[in-house]
Amino acid sequence: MNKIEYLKDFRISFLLLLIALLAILDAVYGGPNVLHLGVEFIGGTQIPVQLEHSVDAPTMATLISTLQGRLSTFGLKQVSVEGVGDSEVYVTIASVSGSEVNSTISLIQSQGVFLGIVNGKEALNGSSLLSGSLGAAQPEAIGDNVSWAVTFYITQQAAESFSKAVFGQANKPLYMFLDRPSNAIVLINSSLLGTGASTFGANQTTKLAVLQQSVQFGNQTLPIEVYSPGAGGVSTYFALNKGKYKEVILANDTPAGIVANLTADNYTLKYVSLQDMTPNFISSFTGTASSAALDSWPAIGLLSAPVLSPGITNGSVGQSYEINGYAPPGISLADGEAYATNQSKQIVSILSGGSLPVHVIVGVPTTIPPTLGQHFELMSVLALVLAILAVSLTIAIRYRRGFLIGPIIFTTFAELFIIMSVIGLIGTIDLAAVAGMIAVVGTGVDAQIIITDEVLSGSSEHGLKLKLGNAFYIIWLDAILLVVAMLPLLFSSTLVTIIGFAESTILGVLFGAFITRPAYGAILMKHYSKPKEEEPKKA
Amino acid sequence: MMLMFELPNIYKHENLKYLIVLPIVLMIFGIYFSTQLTYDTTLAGGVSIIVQTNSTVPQSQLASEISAKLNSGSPSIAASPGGLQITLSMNQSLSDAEDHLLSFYAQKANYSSYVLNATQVSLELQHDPNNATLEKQLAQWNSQTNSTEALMTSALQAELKSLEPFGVSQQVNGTGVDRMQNQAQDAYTSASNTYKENTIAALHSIIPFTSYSYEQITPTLGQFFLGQLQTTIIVAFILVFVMVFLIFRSPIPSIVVVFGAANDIIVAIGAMAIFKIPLGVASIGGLLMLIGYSIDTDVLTAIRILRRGEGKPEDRAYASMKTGVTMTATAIVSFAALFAISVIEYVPTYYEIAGVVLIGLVGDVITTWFGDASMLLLYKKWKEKR
Repeated sequence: MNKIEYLKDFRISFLLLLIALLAILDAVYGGPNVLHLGVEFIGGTQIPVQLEHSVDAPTMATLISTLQGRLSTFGLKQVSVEGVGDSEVYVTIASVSGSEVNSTISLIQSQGVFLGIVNGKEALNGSSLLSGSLGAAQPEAIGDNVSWAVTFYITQQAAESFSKAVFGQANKPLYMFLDRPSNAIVLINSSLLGTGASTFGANQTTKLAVLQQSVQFGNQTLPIEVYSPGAGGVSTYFALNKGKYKEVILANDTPAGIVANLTADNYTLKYVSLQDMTPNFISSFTGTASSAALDSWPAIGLLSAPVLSPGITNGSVGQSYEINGYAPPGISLADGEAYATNQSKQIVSILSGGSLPVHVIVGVPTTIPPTLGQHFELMSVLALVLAILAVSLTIAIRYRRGFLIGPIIFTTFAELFIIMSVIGLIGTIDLAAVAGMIAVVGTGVDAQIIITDEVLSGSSEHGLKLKLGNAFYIIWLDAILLVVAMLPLLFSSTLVTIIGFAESTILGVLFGAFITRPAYGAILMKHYSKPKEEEPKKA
Repeated sequence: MMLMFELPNIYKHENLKYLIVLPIVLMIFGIYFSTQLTYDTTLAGGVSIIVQTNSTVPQSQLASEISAKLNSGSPSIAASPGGLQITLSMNQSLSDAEDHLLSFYAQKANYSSYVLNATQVSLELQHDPNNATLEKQLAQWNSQTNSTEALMTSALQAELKSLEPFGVSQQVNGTGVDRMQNQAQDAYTSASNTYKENTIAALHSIIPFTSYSYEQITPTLGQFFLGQLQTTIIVAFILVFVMVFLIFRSPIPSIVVVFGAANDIIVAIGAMAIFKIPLGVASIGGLLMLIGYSIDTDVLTAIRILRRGEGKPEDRAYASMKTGVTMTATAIVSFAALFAISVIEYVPTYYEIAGVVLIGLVGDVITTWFGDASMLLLYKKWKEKR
């Protein structure tokens, strides 16, 4: 029988196909680092953050997304925030540099700076608000309209300065900023302003004018420079102002030529995502005419722009305020309610300076230096190779059939390759995951032993096919039971450092029981259904 | 065939009952020693430092020098050719300061709500001046606000007092709740870092090393992890029992299979206590895996003894043993590789996982083939007689 015979079996060819597919995915999506490795291998820092008291799941989710948002807007690469149970959070960064760790810690501890600007003047700031007074009303449906509202109190002193700032500014926007940059130039691609007369009857020029209004703030106004994708170099504005402004805020798809010019002019570059650089316009009605108004522009920290109602711009001094609005018309009631809830949540988050829902205590960071990580990596590879060698040797001694070693080693390697690729592509390979892979080598070989013993077992009146069926009945039961035993760990929200173990064993056992081990069985069937003279039967 | 696999067919023995005694004796030993089980920092709380060094300073000398330099109790030290793991108990001053910081935060929450109430009442007073009830309420909220602020000041002072050994300034920086909160946070963070730096500097003066990893877990968090670890194991057992029962549809084989897994864990924990392998968060992986491996052989045996028809049950049990012992042997071999590496080149996660599985699997050979297989055979014979 030649080798082609083996490929004719769908179990074997399917396994080979899967391996080829994963190899291609590894090569395409793996990038230079091939697979995602945990901080234990590449080095990094884990900062434990203890919460003042335990919180419920929605609060935990808010906390995690607030932290994630804060840390990523400050340009920290590879930050992960994960909840541990209900009173602890781990922030992990792929860096061990003292200054980056310290700036991360101060970002976690500090609050954002809220600033409300009306017509280029400060109207509200973070200390205007009475802490604890922020409240979001339940969305209310009146007919087809769903309304939302956020109420808050401001201090006596703030009330007076607010009433002066908004005097005569009826129907003008209150630009609400969180961590508004200063001393920076904004560089925007003209295509982000739309082409031709597009949104709400506004063309590029009107839109730019709206943007220019939003960045006004006395001598801290942020200049906006527009570039056209085809035009090549950057305007002379940057060269002329290189002493005046320190920073340029730009999208991360800015052409390399422009970036080179800016770097040459000694600007600090602050990259934001394309999505954050895109201003969000909405239509606004003043009287009868509709025009484009700016709703948010995350690149400069402008997160919302409610319009001042005439009742509060007549010079009266008040301490109690409300920001409200409606969900857009034409969507379902449920969508409208979701939109309203979301809006009021966002306003609350901006007004509270993006602060966390509970107080936190930042613990001492655990640092894994890259050299120690490399050491762990080397040891893990060594452990895997040693485990496979040792297991193969045991099998060889036990069965003393040269033919078996090939398929057993092949199946084991195939299983490992599949788990590594899948976890490395969609998750993270950490120490726990590698330990899980070694456990899978153990269970994988166990299954192969069951198959081999059944196939080679004495009574020949049973057909090979039946024997294989018997073996797989046991293997599948074992697989299901192992998965069941690992489920509580997989879904644990607390023992996060070790979840990788459950992930790799469950994946390994499932791929093993349903793909690689059937292929092994098929190889054995093909081989042992041949004429007997090749392998003398043993007692 | 090689001698090492020439196992005797113990199931032809007349009194199978006696075989069961062995795993039960193991279980009693396991339970007895399990009380002496030690926890690592992830479960007990404390500071754990891994250093890469080839220093040959004897461990006892190292321990006494560290405890002298750091003014702390004797550290526990695990050494391997590649490095050292030094475990210190949690610094008392730091953990006291943490308690005070938490009580500061609790007062802060009260403070905010009192200020808000006072503002609301004063707004109502603007609309309804000279309302005596409102005036009384306002006075009450204002006094609550003041007394809470005083409580916060004293919590902050207590925290600063606890942190005095770390050179933290005892001066409260002016009034204002926000300033106090910043000071309370900063003091704790800077003291924790000072403690870390002092510890590392002290180690540097005793042993040479280039890179290190430092991990601090508070005792409360360790306690919490321990509770979660126990819950996870118990839930896993319940799920496995339900699944096994669904497969066999009969209580006795299900109990036998689950007994096998439980006994393996008990034996593993007892042996870890004897060999001083600490239990940590990572061990959970090993313990669950042990359930998996244990069930592997138990299910194989149960199905072959109870469900197959060829030959005598004793012979099927014996054949199962041959297959099963090979299975366990290969699992032992693969975890021995991991364990060897974790011991030679200190890798704590591997040490904790492989240690548990390795010892548990050795126990599994005895539990499964003396205990479970014999029980299943007795059950089969009893059923055939009926």
